[in-house]
Amino acid sequence: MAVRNNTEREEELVGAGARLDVEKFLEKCRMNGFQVAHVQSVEALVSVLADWASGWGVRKIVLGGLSKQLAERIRGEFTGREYMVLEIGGVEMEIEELRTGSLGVFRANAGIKETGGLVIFDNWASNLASLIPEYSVALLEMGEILQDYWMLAHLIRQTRPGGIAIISGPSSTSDIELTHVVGVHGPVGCGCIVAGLELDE
Amino acid sequence: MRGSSSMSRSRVLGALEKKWEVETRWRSMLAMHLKSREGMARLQQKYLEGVFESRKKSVENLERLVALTIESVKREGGNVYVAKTAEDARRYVASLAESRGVKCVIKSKSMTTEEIGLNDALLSQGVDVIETDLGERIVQLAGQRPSHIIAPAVHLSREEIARLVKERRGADLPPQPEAITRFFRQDLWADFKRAEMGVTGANIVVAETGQAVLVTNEGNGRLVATMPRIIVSIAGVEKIVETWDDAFNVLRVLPVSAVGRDATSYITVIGPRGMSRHVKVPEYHLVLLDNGRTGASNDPWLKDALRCIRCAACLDVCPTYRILGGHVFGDIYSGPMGVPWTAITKGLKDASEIAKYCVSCSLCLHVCPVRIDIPITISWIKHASGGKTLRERILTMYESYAVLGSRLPRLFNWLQGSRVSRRLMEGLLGIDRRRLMHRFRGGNLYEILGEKYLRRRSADVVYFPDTYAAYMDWSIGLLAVRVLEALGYTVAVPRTYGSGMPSIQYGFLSKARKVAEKNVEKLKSYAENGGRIVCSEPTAAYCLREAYPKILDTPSSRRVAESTWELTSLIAAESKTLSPSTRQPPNTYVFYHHPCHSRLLSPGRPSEDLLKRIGMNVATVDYGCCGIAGTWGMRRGAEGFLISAEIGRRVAEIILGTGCMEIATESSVCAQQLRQFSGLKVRHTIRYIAESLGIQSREEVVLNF
Repeated sequence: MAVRNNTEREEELVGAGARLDVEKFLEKCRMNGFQVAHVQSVEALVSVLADWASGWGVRKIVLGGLSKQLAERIRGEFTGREYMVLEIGGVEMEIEELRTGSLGVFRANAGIKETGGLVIFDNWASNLASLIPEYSVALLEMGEILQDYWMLAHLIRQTRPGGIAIISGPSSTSDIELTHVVGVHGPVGCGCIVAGLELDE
Repeated sequence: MRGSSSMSRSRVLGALEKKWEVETRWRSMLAMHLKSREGMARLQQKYLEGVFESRKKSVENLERLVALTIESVKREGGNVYVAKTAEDARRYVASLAESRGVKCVIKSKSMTTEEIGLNDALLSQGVDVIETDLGERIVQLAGQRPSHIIAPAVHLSREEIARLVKERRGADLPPQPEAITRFFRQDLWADFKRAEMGVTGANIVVAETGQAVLVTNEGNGRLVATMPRIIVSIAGVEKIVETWDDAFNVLRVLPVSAVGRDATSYITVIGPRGMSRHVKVPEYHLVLLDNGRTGASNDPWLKDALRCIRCAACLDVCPTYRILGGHVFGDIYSGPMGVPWTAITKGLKDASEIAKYCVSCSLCLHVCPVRIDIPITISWIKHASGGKTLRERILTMYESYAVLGSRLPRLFNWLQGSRVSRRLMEGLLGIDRRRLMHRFRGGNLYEILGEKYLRRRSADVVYFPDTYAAYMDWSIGLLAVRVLEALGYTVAVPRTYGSGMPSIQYGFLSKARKVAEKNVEKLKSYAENGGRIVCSEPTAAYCLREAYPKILDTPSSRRVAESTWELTSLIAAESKTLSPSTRQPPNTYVFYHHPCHSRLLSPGRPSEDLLKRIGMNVATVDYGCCGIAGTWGMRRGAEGFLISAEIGRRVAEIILGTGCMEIATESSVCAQQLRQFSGLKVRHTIRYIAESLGIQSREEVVLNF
């Protein structure tokens, strides 16, 4: 992953005059249909995940694109809570396993404050965890929130990702009589947790 | 031509018979339009400037951007093919599928693949082709083509879709959108897993990195780009933008204009190094389709259409599209933008077949986020493709009819009221006998005002009356002049010609040019001396300000355009002395109807504000066009009146629902439509102003409006 150094990123953004306004970002995400939380510790993060998983009725947690340390912390915290925790590894896994009754937890590379979007660069495991399961939750550090698309354009030019996904809500359609329905091909529900700590240490 | 027009008539009648479809489409398009307008009202101007500049740059640099894209895709390890024609593109993808032993192709929504007829080509060589966008899948199962570019199945009811699923997929579902969606989630998942090739369209191609950008809500685009081992993106060359900044200029505006949201659920960026589920980097092909686009980029009338970002705002607002839908008003590309796009990709003859459904209301230009002048482009397509009817030619002589009527008012009023003569008029002139016609007052404005106004060489304001206020009922013109004088302006009224709108509307551009030249010649000296040209008829202001500079393209026409105002806009902007009047009867509840051309010309709601300022209780609803569109709504049966009546009835229902007592508007033809279908009294806004100034009494009998 090219963009992970939070301190460097924060310096760059602050240097560019950006206001890291987490609450406004989360408000925009909420308007887009995300569940949102702002946490200060891994324990709190896991607690939010467990609450949401319970609310959505899922018992399978699928981790994708998280650092080894963070994945281990989450797995550890969930041990003994009657959840199955899987990790999308470096080899091809049976994709069907990810699909039903699961919550994908993935690492987003950036958030867009103006539109309430979450960005994934190049990470195929994050991509799968955000797309295939019935529910998905993005993990993001405070310093990774960008003001708008044009800051993202700057980041794209710097890092040259091969693939990008910008997620701004659950999978949805209004194709039948303009009735809004969620969960067409991607997740039925989604969440975003912004952490006030370095997630990858 | 006779064959073509009778086919067109039967298509219109067929569409009108589908009552549920017409009603649903009307309500759906209105809802989408309102969402779009709400979003666009929030959008900062800088984003609109940004998207316009980025799209303009793309169109002006097509060939350079194609070369840059090729270089970028190759640098990243992908394959790129530039297809000159639809046939070339089809052959490339079909032979790729054949050479790789592909048995199943999954597709995300793509109008470009519709344009090249890809599905049929693949099916003919035994490949399963599965559309994965829900709406596209539904129309695929129905054996139809999309009727709307972003809501492909909007013409089908939930019951029809449930029935279709039972017939084609064997599942017995309740007719509920949730149940149907759940079924397709499962059903298509099996196809996502088995397909060897994924085909996507592209909303944007970014030249600097060679990547394709998809804007979706369902997630099927992401799955198509993630699951198969071969990925093909097909995009028209005009979709290329130079940089990521340009791409985000489009991405910031597209979802707002389309559905009123700041962002769709997913933006997916794919390229040679995408985010496939396969550990090995998949095989990636980008097909860039020309098919007439480069030629169009050098055509002064068609090049602007290449800026289109496919938001569909023009479809949602179009009065005839709302009634007829994309299967009648459309080819591959439907609705207003479908006309120039059919001209670009299939030629003028095909385009002229659907151009006839454009009524020149200009709302498509009003809502277009990249300012494509679709109505004038369609007028040119009608002009260039020939094949206009005798009746259309007769309708361009509307002003001569009005001049005669002003000289023989009793005869003309009798003729317009007699059943026998209305039948004759219908047969000979093509004017529907059911259409309520305005009565003639007799005499004309120039005679009433006298030489002083005709000969005045310099004035603050030059009044341009157009046909109705000059010849049919000069009382509007007289009131306009009296009100302007009461507000302190000196007024000149030189003898001018009618605006020529019928000629523009039906594509008689040579005739329109002649009229425009004469009017510009009459008005230019006033404009050069700082006089404002003021119109009480919004369509006249539209012609002077928007149409004449396009069809004449001269400094004088531009000077006249810059000086042109709508009457009520000028008063609203400059007169601070108007205040609530004691002369208005208490509790007069007025509905304000905003004419289409007025929306385009005057930002905000100046007339409505003005009515409120003088103490009126005003209601208004944004339903779009009232459906008469000049002489079009007077045309016989399926050529105009029947469609116009469908719109008029719905608009009247909305207006009557507000509980208002009468209607204020500025357009004489809108007044005709609103009177006919609402049964309410309709009055020109200037009458209320005149009453508040004590120039006209409310008890005065109004002839028409």
